Amino acid sequence: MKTLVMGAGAIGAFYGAWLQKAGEDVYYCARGVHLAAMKERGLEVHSIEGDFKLAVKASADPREFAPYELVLFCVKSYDTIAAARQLEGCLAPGGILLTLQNGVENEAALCTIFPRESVMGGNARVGAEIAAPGKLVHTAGKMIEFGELNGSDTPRAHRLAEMFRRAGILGELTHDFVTIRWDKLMGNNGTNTVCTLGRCSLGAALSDPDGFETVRRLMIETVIVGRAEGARMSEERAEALLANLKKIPHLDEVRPSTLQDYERGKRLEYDAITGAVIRAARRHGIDVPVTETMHALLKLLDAGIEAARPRGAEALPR
Amino acid sequence: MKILVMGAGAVGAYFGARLVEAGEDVVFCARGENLRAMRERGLEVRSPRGDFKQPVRASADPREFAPYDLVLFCVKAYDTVGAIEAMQGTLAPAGAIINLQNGVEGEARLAEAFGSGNVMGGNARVGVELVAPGVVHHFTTGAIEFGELEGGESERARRIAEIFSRAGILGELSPEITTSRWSKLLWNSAFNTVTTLTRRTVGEVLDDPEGERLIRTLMNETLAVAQADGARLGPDRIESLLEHSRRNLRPLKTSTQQDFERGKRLEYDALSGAVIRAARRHCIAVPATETIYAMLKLLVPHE
Repeated sequence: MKTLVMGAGAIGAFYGAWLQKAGEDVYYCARGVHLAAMKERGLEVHSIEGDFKLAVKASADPREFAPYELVLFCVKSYDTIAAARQLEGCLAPGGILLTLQNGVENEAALCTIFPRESVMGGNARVGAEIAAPGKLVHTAGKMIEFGELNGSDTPRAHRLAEMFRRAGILGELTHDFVTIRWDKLMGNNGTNTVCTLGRCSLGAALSDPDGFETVRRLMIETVIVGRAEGARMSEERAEALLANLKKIPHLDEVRPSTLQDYERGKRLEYDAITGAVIRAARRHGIDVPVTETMHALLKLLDAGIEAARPRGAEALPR
Repeated sequence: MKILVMGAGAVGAYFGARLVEAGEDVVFCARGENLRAMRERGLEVRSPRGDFKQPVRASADPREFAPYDLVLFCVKAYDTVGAIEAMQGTLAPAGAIINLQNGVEGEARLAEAFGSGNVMGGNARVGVELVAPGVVHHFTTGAIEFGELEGGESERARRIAEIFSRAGILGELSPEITTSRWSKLLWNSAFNTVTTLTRRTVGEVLDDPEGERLIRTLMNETLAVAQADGARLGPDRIESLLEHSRRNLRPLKTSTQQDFERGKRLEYDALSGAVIRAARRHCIAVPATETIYAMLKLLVPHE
């Protein structure tokens, strides 16, 4: 399947590389030194399953190799609209736009630019990092959960699931889209925020009793809001996820994407996480004091990163 | 009067220098590089109110020049226990200790060790920075407000106020020092913490609507706890603190933020921790303060 990875950061590069290795026709859209490195030297992958190197077809302009049958939409949430506009006219007839971004609001944003029936969504369930330009490090998991926005069972969804399976990725098809998206948001609202403000690994955050309690409260707030939004969630599910998180091996090396961005002086993707929870909470008149606190802190921290960046300088991986 | 500055960091060294200038007999207790510099080259204060550079009596051990009639207790809150131990037997009969630490819990510890009759509470109101060992940069204000823990006025408080007044450091002899101490914590528990976690100045935090709302949330939590703890403060105090901050403190980097930038230990437990402990005693929910506390605790060992 002719596939474009729109935004070849850690998540996009991971799925792209695994699909390409399985024989799919994959293209990568990236920027700056990361793009230059991929064009010059290819994509270097260091994985818990072994290292390999791929020659890749990469470009800053998605139009260069268009049209595509599938687009894995992996840009940061604050770039969604700009990236979607770049993609206009790049989708083959019947083509699929699969968003794997953080948050729960990107699907709706994409539907303002693309026909609703072309958009699907899902959760990237993988631990990865762009350690240097052109260099992907894969640290944990290799799953994807996805489905149709309305939860219906379609042949194309099964085709995609089959393609992911062939690539060694556990592709799980969902018929309860809202629930899986809020479930992911629950984890992000708890862990991305705490690890970024504490500037610490997930292991460090969870091994401190006050850090653990803060993660727990953030998850519970997300559960309450998600339930009001129609997701089937429970406090028990949050507790179970926390208990499972603590069992992940090498937890001291797990650093959520927002923390990685902070460390590289990149813009922080907090609004798609804390902001999304707060906006939904307001719609339902729910109080989320811990999420509100984290949101204000992350907003201020992000403003400091922006202010420290030289004018016109692009934030890039180290 | 023989005075010990217990913990001659920026705050203690500044007030000590002003007292030396006024002719008082002052001993500075310090450690490490700072102590060595003061012994070898004396103490230097650069100040818009006039510079100070003189040899001073400095020691790592308060016992060396004991006993003292007055102690200005200025160590970081996390060093309180060790400092109290070092000071055993160094107070003259009828001597007084004024606690100038951040937070509201140091007085009780001092009272336990030295008797509540010997302990007074105080707020240091001064903008200073230890720019090099033995060198203090003084920016703004420079006053001590203090008073008896029980409230009211006393003969010895008036005597000490007289000395402070001569040295140009008397802010106020406060008949309600507990209220003043909570009022200071009201500011510190919001601004010191948020500026440290976000690396923004007081003005930058207040310019962001969500930043201002967070500051208000934290202050409202602390206010409820302070009221339950007996401080006579109302919501108008929050408004006046915000107004003062907007007008006079915009470029300020708080002391906790300075400590963070220097890789020093953070005094967050005396700020958010003190609010949380008092909140538990009074069954008051302080979710924002608890969140901030947890983040500062995680932040400490890493950067």
